[in-house]
Amino acid sequence: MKALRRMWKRMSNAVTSRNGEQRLREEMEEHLRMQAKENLRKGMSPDEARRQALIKWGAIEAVREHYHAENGLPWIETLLQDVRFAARMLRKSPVFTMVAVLTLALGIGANAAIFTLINALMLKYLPVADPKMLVRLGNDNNCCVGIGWQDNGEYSYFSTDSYEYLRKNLPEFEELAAMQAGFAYRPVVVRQDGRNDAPRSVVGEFVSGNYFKTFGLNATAGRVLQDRDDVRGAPFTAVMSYETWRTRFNSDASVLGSTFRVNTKPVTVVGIAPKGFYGDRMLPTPPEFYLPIESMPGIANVPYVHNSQTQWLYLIGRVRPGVSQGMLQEKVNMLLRQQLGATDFFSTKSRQQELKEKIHVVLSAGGGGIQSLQEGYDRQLRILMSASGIVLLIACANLANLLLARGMARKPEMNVRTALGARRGRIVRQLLTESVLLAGAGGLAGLAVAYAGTRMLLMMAFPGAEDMPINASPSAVVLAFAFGLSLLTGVLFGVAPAWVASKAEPADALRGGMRSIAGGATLLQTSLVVVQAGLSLVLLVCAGLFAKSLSKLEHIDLKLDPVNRYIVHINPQTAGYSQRQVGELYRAIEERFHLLMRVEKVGITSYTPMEDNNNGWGVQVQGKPEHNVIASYIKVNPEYFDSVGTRVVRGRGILPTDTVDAPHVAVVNKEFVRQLFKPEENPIGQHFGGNVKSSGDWEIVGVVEDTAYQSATWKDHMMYFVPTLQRPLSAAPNSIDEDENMYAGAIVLKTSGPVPEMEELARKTLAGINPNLSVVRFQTFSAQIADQFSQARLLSRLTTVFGVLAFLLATLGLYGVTAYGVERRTAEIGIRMALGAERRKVTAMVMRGAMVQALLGLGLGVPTTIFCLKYVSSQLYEIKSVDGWVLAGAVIALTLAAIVAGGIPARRAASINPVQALRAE
Amino acid sequence: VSEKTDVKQGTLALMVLKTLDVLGPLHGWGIARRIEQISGALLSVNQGTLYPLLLKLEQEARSSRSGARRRTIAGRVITSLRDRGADNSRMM
Repeated sequence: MKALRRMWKRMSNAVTSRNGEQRLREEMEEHLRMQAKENLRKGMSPDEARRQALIKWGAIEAVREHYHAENGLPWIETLLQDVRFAARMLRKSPVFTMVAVLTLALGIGANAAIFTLINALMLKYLPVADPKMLVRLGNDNNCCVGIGWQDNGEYSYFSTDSYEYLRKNLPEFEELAAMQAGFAYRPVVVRQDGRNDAPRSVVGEFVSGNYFKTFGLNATAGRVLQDRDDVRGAPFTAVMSYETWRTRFNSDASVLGSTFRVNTKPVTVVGIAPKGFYGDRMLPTPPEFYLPIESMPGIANVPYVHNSQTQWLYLIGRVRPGVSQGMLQEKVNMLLRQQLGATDFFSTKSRQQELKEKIHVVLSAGGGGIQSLQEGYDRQLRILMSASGIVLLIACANLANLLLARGMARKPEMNVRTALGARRGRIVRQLLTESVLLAGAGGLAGLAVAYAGTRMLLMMAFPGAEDMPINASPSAVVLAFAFGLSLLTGVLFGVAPAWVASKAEPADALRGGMRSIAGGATLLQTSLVVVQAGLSLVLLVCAGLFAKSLSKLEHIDLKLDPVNRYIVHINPQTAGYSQRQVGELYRAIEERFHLLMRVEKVGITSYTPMEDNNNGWGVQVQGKPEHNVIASYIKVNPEYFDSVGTRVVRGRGILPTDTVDAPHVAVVNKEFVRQLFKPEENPIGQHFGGNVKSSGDWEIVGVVEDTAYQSATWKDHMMYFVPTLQRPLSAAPNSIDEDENMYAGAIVLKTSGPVPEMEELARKTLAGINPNLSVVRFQTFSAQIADQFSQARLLSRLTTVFGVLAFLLATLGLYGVTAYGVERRTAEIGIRMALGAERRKVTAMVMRGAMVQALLGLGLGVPTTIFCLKYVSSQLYEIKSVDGWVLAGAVIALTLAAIVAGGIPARRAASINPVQALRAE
Repeated sequence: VSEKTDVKQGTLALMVLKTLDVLGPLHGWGIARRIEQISGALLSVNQGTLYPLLLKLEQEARSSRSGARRRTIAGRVITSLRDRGADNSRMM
C-alpha cells in the first residue's frame, strides 16, 4: 500500500512536474547564504566564503538529479527521454534506419505470414462449445468409402451399423456424432424451388442427427438437425451454413422452411448453422448444407449407407467429464470387435483371428476436428517455418552488424558521454532503446508484409478456395507473435552491439582523434557474417532442390496429351438419373457435344487422369493362382482414349460395337500386363474378374499406355477400362440399381483449337439435355494437371523467395562489414600506401578478408545443408542426396556475391589517397 | 566509473531523524551543521546530498507514520519529525 501510494505521488509529480526545481533552488540559496555567513564569521573574505560554501555543497547537478529522481518517476521519464533521443538519432541517419527496418520487416513479415497459416491450420480448435471434451474415434484420415483396416489393424472410419452400435453402448459419451468422411468428393446439386436460377453444384455433408448437439451448437435461425430428422422415412431436411445464407441469400429469413431441390429431391431447410461454423474439418471449400445420414440413400442414391461392411463415417463424440481415455479406448475396442465379429465379413476363420489380434481404434483429440488438411500441409509448413526462421536469423545478424558498425562510429560520442559522467549501464540502455525502437518499427512494417504474404500464401496453397475459414488479417495471437519477435530481436541482437559500443575510454574523448591502427571489423562482426553466409547457403541449396524436384515432377511423362482438352465434371445421379437411364444420357451427350464447333472427340469416363480420384478393385486372371492385388477400375466410352491422348499399344481400344449386349471386354494398361502376365504370354483374349469365382467377367481385347492417374508420382499402378454400360458378367441383373459405377464422372472434350467459351457451351449443352444436369467442375486438362503440382510449386516458390532473400541479406552483410572495415582502416591503409604498398596489394588484402569470411561460411554451410536434407527429403521427388549441380551452383553464386561484396570496398581502399587519408585525422 | 558512497545508505537518514528528535524543527543548513558537529571529521558529506534525502523523508511522511514534515516558515523551509514523540528513529 505504502509503495503504491508513493508511486502514485511520484506519478502525479512526474505529470504535473511540481515546482520542486524552484524549491530546491531556494533552499540551496538559503543554505549557501547561511554557510557563507558562517565562513565569514570564521574570518574569510566574502568571495572565499561563498566559494567554500559551494565546495561544501558538492556537485550541484548531481544533487539536482537526485532531487529530481526523488520527486518523479525517473525510470519512465528517462525511458521517454531515451525513446525521444533514439527516434531523433534514427531520423538523423535515414539510410541506416531504412535498411534496418526493411530487413527486419521482411524477416518478421515472412515469419508472421507463415505463423498465421500455422496458427490457423494447426493450432486452431473448431469454433464449438468446449472443444477439449471432444474425442475422435480414430486417428487417421483414410477416406472415403471402403472396406477393411490399415495394415496395423487400425480403424479410423466406420460403417453405419458400427456407428449405431457404438453410440448405443457407450454411455461415456454425452453424444457421439457421425459425419460423412468423403463429402468433399461428392458435391450435391442444389436449386431453390420456385426460383429460376440454374442448379448449383455445392458441397453438402451428410451427418448424424445429433451432429450439432455433439458440438454444442444452436442454430442462428430456425433449428439445428435433430435425431428425429435422421430416421428412415423422415421428410428430407437440411441446415444451411451461415456463410451461404449471408452471401447467397442475403440473410433472407424466408429461406427457413422453404424447399430446395437437392439432387432434384425436395429438402426443407429447417435452420441456419451458427456463424463461423465451418463444419468438422478445415477445408478450402466448407460444406454449405448439412443433411441427415438417413436421407442420403434417397438423395444421393448410394448403396453403402445401410451396407454392414462399407465404412464411410468419421466419429466424434463429447465425453462426459471424468471419463478416463484409456478405459474408454479399451471399451471402444471391445465393442467394435463385438459388433464386427457378428458381421458376414468376419465370418471366416482367418478374419476372426485378425479381428481378435489386430483390429483396434485409436482415440484422438477431436477438438480440432478431422485433421485431413493439416496432415497434408503439416510437413511443408514446418519446412517453410524453418526457412523463414533462418531468413529472420540472417536479417537479425545484419541488424546486429549494422548496429555494431554504428556503435563503433559513435565511439567518440560515447567517450564524451562517459567523460561527462554517464555510467555504462545508462549508455547500454540508451543503445538498447534504439535497437528495440528499430525492431518495433520493423515489426510494424512486418505486419504489413505478413498480411500481404498470408493472402498470397492462401492463394497459392488453396487455389479456387471458396470461403476458406482462414483470415489473412493478423489475429491477436499473430500480433503478439510479431510483437514478441521484434522485441526479442531488438533486445537479443541489440545487447552485444550496445555492450561493445559502451566500452568507452573517456580519456580518448579528451585526446581528440582516434588514431588507432588496431581496427577493422571485430571478431563478432566477422563471425556474424560467416554464419550468414553458411545459413544462406543452406537456404539456397534447399531452394535449388525444391525447384529441381518440381521440374522433375513437371517433366514426368504422363503419357497423355493435355493440349486443347477440356474436362467437364458431371454427376448424372444429382440430376435424378437412375442407373438404368444413363445409357440414353451418354448417347445424348456424345451426340450434342459433337454438334459443337471444333469438338473432335467426346470422351465419357468415371474419372480422368491426374484428378484426385481412384476406384480400386481386386483382380484375378482366369486360370492363375490367387494374386491378391488391386487394380483401378474405370468405365469409358469409345472416344475416351483419344480424348485424353492415351495410346493403344496392343489389340484395340473400346469400340462403339461394345454395347450392353455385346461380349464383355476390357482394355488394360501395360503395368497390368507386366504384373499379371509373363513376358512371353499374350494377354489379348485372356479373361479376368474380381476374384476366382468371377474371373470370367472380362475378356482383354487391348493394352494401353500407363497414363498417369491420380498423381504423377503414383507408379506401378494397374488399371483396366471397360465400356460405360457393361457390367461384370457374374453380377446379378438387379444389382444394377445399386451399381454406383454406372454413373460417369466426367466428359473429356478434345477440340481442334482453343475454345475459350467452352465452359459456357458445356453448361448450355448439358442444360439442353436436362435442365437439372449441372457442371460440377470445369477445367482445362492442363489446369487440372497443374493443380496436382500446386503444393510442390508452393514449396518451391517460397523456398526460392526465402533463398534469394537470404542470399541478398548475406551479401549485404558481407559488403557492410568489409566496407566498414575499410573505412575504419583508412588511416592505416593510407600509411601503408605512403610507405610504398602497391594498390594491387591493398586490394588483395581487403578481398582476402572478404573471401575468407565467405569461404568459412561455405565450409560451415555445406555440412549443415547435408544434415538438413533429411528433414526435407520427404517433400522431394526422386532426390535423395544433395545434388552436386545444385550445391555447386549455390557455392558459385555465393562466391560471386562475395567477390562483388568484397570488390567494391577493395576498390575504394585502393583508391585511397595517402596524403588525404592522413590529413583527414 | 564506480559511484562513490561515503555514507552507508540509510545512515544519513537515521542521523537526520535523530537530529530532529533531539533538536526539534530545523532548517536544512542546521541539520547539516549538527551532523557535522556530532560526527566530527569522521563523516564528510556533501551538504547538497542532504536535500534529496529530506525530500524523501517528507514523501514518506505523506504515506506512512514515519518520516519528516517540512514547512516554510518566514521564507525558510523547516523540517520536523512528523509525529513528535513517536519513536521514529527506531522504526527506521
